[in-house]
Amino acid sequence: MPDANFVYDVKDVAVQPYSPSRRRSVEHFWRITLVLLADYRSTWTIQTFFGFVMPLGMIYLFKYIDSGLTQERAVFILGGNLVTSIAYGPVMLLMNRIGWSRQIRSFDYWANLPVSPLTWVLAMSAVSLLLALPGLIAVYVMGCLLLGLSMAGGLALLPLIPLATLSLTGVGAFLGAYAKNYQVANVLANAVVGFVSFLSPIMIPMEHMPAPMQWIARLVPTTYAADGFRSVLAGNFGPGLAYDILILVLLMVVSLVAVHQKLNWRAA
Amino acid sequence: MPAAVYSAKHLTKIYPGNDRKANDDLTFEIHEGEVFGLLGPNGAGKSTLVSQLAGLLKPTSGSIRLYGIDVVAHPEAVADYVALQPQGSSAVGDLYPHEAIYHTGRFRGLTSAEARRQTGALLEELNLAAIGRRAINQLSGGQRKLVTLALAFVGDRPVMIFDEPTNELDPEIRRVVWEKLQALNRRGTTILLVTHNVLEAERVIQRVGIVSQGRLMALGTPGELKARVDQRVRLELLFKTDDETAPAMLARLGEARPLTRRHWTVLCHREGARDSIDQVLGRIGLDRLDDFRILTPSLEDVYLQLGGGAKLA
Repeated sequence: MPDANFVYDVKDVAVQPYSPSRRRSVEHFWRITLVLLADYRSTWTIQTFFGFVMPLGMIYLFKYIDSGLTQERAVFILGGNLVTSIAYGPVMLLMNRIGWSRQIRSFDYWANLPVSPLTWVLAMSAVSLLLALPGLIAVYVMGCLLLGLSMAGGLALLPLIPLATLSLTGVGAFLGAYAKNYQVANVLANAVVGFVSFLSPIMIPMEHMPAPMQWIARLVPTTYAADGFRSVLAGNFGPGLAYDILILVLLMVVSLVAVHQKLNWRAA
Repeated sequence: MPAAVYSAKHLTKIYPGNDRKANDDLTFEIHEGEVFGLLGPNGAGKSTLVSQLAGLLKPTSGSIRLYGIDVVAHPEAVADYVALQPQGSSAVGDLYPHEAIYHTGRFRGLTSAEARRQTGALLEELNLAAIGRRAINQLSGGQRKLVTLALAFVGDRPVMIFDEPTNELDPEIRRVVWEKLQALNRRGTTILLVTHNVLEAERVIQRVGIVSQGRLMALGTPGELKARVDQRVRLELLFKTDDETAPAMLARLGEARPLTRRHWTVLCHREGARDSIDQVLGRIGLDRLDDFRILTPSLEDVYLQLGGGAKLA
């Protein structure tokens, strides 16, 4: 990718840019977020409900199956379902949004403005997070009540939530970049949800997974996000949590760099 | 000659999985401060060309330069200079019109006060002020079209591209849009206009390119192109009632063709045009006619003969 400010260095450009607006990434992030949020004026309740109902159902299911629930097991279930709530909400939303935008060519509008695709993805991630927050809080509160966990350390989850969301939506955006239309994006989104639900240690402890799956699980952010949530829920703020946070930051950076390279909203 | 804003050379586009060339070796310039009309029938390759000029589509081969910048290598630079009228309003469909125009202006670097001023002015000019808090995707087709025009107007980009700007608009607002385009051009804005509405566009276009089957069939001023087509004067007559004597009488004036049973067109040579007009007035008389027009070659004739005739017919 060329340097975003290349125009100012090109010697043979006859006319300087009309507006150096490309440099205002922070303002653009805020403004794109406002524009994208408006898209959910009429549907935010459904979006929120969607991110809330599935994880809560899973908590009910696990509680029903596992009658002699230990605190360790309860923490495992709730931590995993908080991640599921992010995967079902923001990640699916982002992937479907990218596919749909390609299909109806709404990226043409954005491509004709001096904003970068990465800023758009970050803004869309922020929108996804905002839409997921009510569901996440509901899953946390209802999960603690149903599973008999204390809510004392709940505030410590707050910094972890955007980190987990950004690392997951980064993966979602990267996969979404391969989606040529809504149908492909939908298939990819369902594959991610299937992976999150059954093939990473969200519902099943790592040690019970087949060896190849354990290796794959170590490469995806859901594993570390769930571990981080579980550490906070159990009140373990030691090196394990720091390690999860470090890996999440690394995966977030890698996935966002990949998005920056791959997500091209101009057609081939 | 004014400087070239756009310079396209040997531009060819073949879509993946398709053998046919959507654009075939197009070479042309768009000069600073002119209204350049791009005419052609459906499927001629106009939209493909516009998408490439706007940096939305990568050419298969050839080059495009905008103010000297290589658009193929740096498509993101186009947004700093060019405002493209969006094909649809889906990207901002859930916004209210004033929000979409304001935010677009802000993205283009306007201050908050200036974006607000331009938004208010455009809403008034385009008769959108009364819409208020109704989402764009709930508006009529014509109103949505006006919003997309406002999205192109806001921010005062030095180059503006419009694709069928007056489709779906009523005659009154169409006139407002054409006047707005002329006003922008008088202020120095370079305008690329893609349209089928040749008759209306003729009033504002200063240079024209006619595209057909992906190729540039003609390029020049309307006057230059008109000189290349049939120079006969066209008389158009709309009879009040069916007139069985009309065919024989009109055939004596020149090449007469019925458009409908009561609507006739006669092509006559310039030298004999005055006689023909006198005969229409004397032997037929205005009392028997609902409408009588005398037409010299128009840009539409150029378009029909050089580009769109076969497919529009």
